[in-house]
Amino acid sequence: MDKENVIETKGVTKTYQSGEVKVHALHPVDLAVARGEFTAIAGPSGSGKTTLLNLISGLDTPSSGKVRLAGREIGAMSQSELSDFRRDHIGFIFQAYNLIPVLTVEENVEYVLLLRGVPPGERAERVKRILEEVGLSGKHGRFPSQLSGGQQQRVAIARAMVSGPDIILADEPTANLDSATGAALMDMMRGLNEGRGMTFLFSTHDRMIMEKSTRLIALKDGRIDSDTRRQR
Amino acid sequence: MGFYLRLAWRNNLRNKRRTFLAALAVGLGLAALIFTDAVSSGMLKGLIDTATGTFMGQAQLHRRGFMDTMDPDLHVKDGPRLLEELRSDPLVLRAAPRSLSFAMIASPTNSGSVMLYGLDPEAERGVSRLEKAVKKGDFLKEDGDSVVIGRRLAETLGVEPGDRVVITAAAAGGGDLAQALFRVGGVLDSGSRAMDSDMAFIRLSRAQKLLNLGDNFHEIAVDFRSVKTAEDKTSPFWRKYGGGGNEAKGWPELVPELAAAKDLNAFGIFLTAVILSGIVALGIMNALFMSLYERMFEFGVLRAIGTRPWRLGLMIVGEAAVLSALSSLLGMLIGYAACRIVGIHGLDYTGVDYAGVTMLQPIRPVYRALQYWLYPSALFVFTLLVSLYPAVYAARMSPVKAMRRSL
Repeated sequence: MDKENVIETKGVTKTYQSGEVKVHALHPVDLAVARGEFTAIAGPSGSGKTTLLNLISGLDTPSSGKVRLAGREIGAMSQSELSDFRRDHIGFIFQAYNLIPVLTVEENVEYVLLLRGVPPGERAERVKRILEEVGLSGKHGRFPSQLSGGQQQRVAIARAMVSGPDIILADEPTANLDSATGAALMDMMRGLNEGRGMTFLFSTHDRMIMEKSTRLIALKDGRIDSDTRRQR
Repeated sequence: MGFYLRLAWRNNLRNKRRTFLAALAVGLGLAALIFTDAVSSGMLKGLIDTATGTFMGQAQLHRRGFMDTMDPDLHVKDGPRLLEELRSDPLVLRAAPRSLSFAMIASPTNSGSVMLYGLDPEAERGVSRLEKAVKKGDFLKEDGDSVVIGRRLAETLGVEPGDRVVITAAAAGGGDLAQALFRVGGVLDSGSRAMDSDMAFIRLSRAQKLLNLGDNFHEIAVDFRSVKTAEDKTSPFWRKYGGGGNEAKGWPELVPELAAAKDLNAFGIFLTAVILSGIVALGIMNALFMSLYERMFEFGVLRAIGTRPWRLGLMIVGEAAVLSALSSLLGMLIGYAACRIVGIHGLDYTGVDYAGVTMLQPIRPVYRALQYWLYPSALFVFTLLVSLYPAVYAARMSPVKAMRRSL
């Protein structure tokens, strides 16, 4: 496997049992994503986008095949090891933001650093910096319910990025946002990708994300239908 | 730690009504336990006070075998010296000598059998409440031929203070019958059926003369500085005064029914605690599972961003701890308030016999420190244990399944 690849899958499949019927959500998928890529996985509903993302992140286990992340095979890891691995290497951005509603903006972002055992002073400094970066200075004491959808997604982006992970996995990050806010967020993420060299992998059916990505992988019926790169 | 406590607190406040209702349900369980303990302790205290304070004393000394035979010759061995020794013993508050004898008491119209007590009124004043129970006449004033009897006996005999009665009793030194004329000096109404109908009291000096006892007596009633001494089998008191032909018994041996009632009471409290614990367990688990199912997706997200399974479980335990603390606070307040309210007038069971003792005072709740530290602490620990079930459930849930499930 290539050293530069931060995500690699080899013959990864996922089959669900639905009563008597076996549902093949994902046929063997071979995929390699290089460090610093800004990649979108696109496809209609049921094409296997989210399943693939779940397998790549170790949230779900493949029926067969292997997943390597940041140079490590994740299939043999225990649940605790997987938690630690995700904490240290992966940032998540969800469609519905999924912030902890009882934590303030600052605390939501701080939580990831707390899990990593970062000292309080450094935590405060890093949270302040990332909130400035995503344009949320002055909102640190607010609760998610006091923010707009776009602002909440910015908090989710800050939470995903604050620990400096190798990979950001984003599942339909603009699906709940209006097009202008979605575009602004994509520009912001693109900026962070270029500035920090983080790898972004989106699952989406939003054309705007596809256009702004540097690589577009199309999934169809659980298989890779096409894989195209374009110039930045 | 502060972060997680804050998180647990706020999670409990997410659904204030549900948290309040759960805390109230659990708190009511604790309050019920506190109240049950306070009332039953109050009842026992009242019964023990009545049994020991009315006449019996907290402990008694007799010659070995006297209580079985009531033989007038079996006076306390070396009684006068022992009495002095008892009065200077640091464990002992008061000691009163008494003579006892079966006797017949007869008026011009009727007669009856009684237990005739010879008492030293001065010594008796601290040990028993006889003097306070006298409703007519006086309590063994200087007149050596005065006898005090209970209200029921006075009615049976048809006598009033000033009337004359004849007392016949078996004397020491061979068992000859001794007879003397007495004047009814006082009539008492203690509330105790036995005392009001089956006992007669004369001066000890007069009884010693009547029963041919010299300066001896049959019983020494003792009150301790601490009532706990009477229940403490390991106290040096029993060894010191229980030998040499005499026997010393505390109230648990003198009134075994009451001691048994005390044990039964402790068991009753334990049983109540077990039942209430079951209710509390279900209440806590219900609240935690409701909260858990509502936030299943959120737990999945927490796992996704790197929260270890055990830490997620710890969050649930933390929430249970906060809920338990709220419940304990509510329970203590409600329990205390209930005790205060009932304590104003007490629960009136006066005249009812229980464990061989007649209740003379309304039952008033007794506040004990353990009600406000042991029971809440036990509730807290128990809640944490109960919360382990939902905690383990949450910890073992796979993140992707958790994110698929929600109410």
